[in-house]
Amino acid sequence: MLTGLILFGASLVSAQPYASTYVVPQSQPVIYRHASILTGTGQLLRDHDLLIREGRISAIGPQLPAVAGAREVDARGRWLTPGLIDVHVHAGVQLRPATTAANHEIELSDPVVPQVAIEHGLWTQDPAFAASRAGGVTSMQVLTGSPGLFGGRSVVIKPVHSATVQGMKFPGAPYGLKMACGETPKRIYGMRGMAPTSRMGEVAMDRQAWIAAAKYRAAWDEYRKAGSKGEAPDRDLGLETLAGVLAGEIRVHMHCYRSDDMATMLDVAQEFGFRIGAFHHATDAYKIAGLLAARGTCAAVWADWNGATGHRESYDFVPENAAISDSKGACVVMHSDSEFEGQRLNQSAARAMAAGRRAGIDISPEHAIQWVTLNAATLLGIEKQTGSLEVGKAADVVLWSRDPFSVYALADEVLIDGATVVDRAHPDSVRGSDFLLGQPAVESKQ
Amino acid sequence: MKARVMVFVLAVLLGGPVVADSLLIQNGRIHTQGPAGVIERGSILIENGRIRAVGATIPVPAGAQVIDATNRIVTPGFFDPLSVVGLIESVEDEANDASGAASADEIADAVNFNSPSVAIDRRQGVTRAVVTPRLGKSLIGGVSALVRLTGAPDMVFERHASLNLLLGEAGATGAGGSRAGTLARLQAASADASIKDAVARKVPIVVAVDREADIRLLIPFAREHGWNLIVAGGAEAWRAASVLAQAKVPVIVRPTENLPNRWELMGATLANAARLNAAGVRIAFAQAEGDIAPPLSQLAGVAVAHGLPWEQGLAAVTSNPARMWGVADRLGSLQVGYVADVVVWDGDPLETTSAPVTVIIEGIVTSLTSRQTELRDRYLK
Repeated sequence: MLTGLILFGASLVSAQPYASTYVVPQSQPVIYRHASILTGTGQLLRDHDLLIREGRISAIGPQLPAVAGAREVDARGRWLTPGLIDVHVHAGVQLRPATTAANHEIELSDPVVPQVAIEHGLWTQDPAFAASRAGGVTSMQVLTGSPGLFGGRSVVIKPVHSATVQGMKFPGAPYGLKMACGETPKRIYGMRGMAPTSRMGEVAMDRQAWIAAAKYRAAWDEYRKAGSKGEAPDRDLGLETLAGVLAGEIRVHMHCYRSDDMATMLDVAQEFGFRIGAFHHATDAYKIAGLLAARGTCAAVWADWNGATGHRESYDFVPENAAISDSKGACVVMHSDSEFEGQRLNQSAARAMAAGRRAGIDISPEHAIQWVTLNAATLLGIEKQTGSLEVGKAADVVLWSRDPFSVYALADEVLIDGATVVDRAHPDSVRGSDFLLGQPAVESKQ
Repeated sequence: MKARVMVFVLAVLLGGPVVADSLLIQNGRIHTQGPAGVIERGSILIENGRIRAVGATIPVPAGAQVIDATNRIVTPGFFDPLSVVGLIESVEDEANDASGAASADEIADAVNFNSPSVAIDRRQGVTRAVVTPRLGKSLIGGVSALVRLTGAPDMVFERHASLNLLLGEAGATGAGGSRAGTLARLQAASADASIKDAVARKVPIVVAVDREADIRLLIPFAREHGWNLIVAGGAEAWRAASVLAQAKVPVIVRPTENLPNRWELMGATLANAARLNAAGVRIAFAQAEGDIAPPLSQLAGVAVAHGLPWEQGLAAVTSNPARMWGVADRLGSLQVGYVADVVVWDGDPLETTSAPVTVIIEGIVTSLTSRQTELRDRYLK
């Protein structure tokens, strides 16, 4: 009976395995003066001030009055953007440094493991978290790897120092479900003598799983409609996740490259009545941008792809992928899938924007910044809290040394909920990974 | 004459190379990387594939093709020291050759000059590359080739450009699992024909090594055995900068690498390039392991953002690698008599938003269409 309530009440959130314990820290008010502000809502405000109070954006204007006790920052020549959001990271998943005994956190026992959740395997002391926030990232979605057709639940976190995953979890963020199509599942499981060994097998296994999920959901719906009396249906963690997708509470993040694969998966989604939040990597998105737009599915893409990493299916990548997709109405997000690229998402957006402009697609910086801020927040379902600089929203803010679309721009300050998590002038003032302590070769613990 | 015009027109129509007897690049800001330094507004005259003149004012020769580089930046062609160009289209993927069994493996034989990757890299300003097998787990990892990015059958211009060795964790794994045998293994390897040949011909021996302790172990050994050593990776090289400078050992730095993905990368820092340069170590650039695809230009930009002087950032993708591979007497800088590998950029070449507008290899204006631009144009409308 309890499970019925947990599953289908407004209480799916309370059933989160497990709840966030993140608390907004106390912080001093701060006013940035005379900054160029990319709001994340499509605006560029020149010579504006921004006030942060009690962890939130309190005011934005040309000449804000002073506030008692506020730290005043001269931001002349510098730029403010919303904290960047990386929708595809494996920080904390890959043990760093890797050893033969312990490497990636991936459940490889079966290609269908929607019952697992990455938050149960996350290493909070991965130095990649601090490195990402030094690059201006204030929210990130950690995904399971791509071997599985259903790889498990993702988690949205704030890259703050914490000894527990619960202490990093973004309060109220919906879960994602990692799925994958194309070469990776059939290669990984095919090599192990398991299904799937083909794209056809992948789609068939996907559909079988959704048939089971629909039946599971119906059984619970029926039980609930009958007043939740008598014996409750058996609870199944995997089907619970899939039913959460069908109910629109869990967002699908699907690793796919090719246009034909993506179109097939969109049809599978239509057959079973769910929406795919985004195709990740989506190197062919530019070929089916109109279809993506029509189905409300985002393309989470790279600025570039060197084609040498063993994905035959990524062979048709073009640097204009983001720009063409955007210009045809698809929602575009720049993702990293790399702890290195994830430290410079602003540069990825810049390169993708520039490639588009050279091809005659007019994209402004105030538009392109949305690829790594508000579009990403909307994809993750945290757009009411973060992703743009608007009064009342969380003070997830980056102060850049110059135009963030320049390769030379560095994040001078990064704030999460108004608290300083990066201070380039005082790199050791913020707590970094425990792992780096006492390592003579490491000079900065940040 | 008519036939010649036809060939010319055909070449243009087919997007092929355009040949002119003389070519003048005018009004550009020229970073020569040579003794002339930076010419704020100057010209380069190219004849028969060579640079005939570089200077503030050069009169236009009769019949010369003129490229106006007003508000543009002119640099030497970029030189990629660890490239997989021409290796991508393959079932077995030579770039991913993990066997590394045959120390004498020559990557020149694996280079496919018809690979679309040639034009794709060229569009990023790369005109020369050291095509290198991706290292496996054996100590000796094959012979690299020097190529020009023409896409022509004679693309490889030096078959035996350098020999690759792998030390540190990966090398130790391949040779029984411990670094304790490093010196003994290097000693034994010195008898290998590939190493003897490299030493005899003074071609670089490029050793992938990251940990400070391993670097300090390697340097005296290489000196005693007369190696022309280049350190590849060198994540902790900044900690041995003075030793490297003293031994005149250059380093191929991965400017974006700042995470300890392996134990031997503990000291990895974004300041590596700047510090090595400040200590007098010659540097070139390569991509971090596991990164997606920053082009050489962005890698240089990142190093500059983290303290490397801009002109040194450019040197690390042009003149420095040319020096490291012993071809700086004709490549890597814009000097009279040098091979005319020249790139005209639409902005700061190290910036995220810039790209080449003209790429010249051996005096020939190359095509900037690629498989990617053809795909783009098909789906743009």
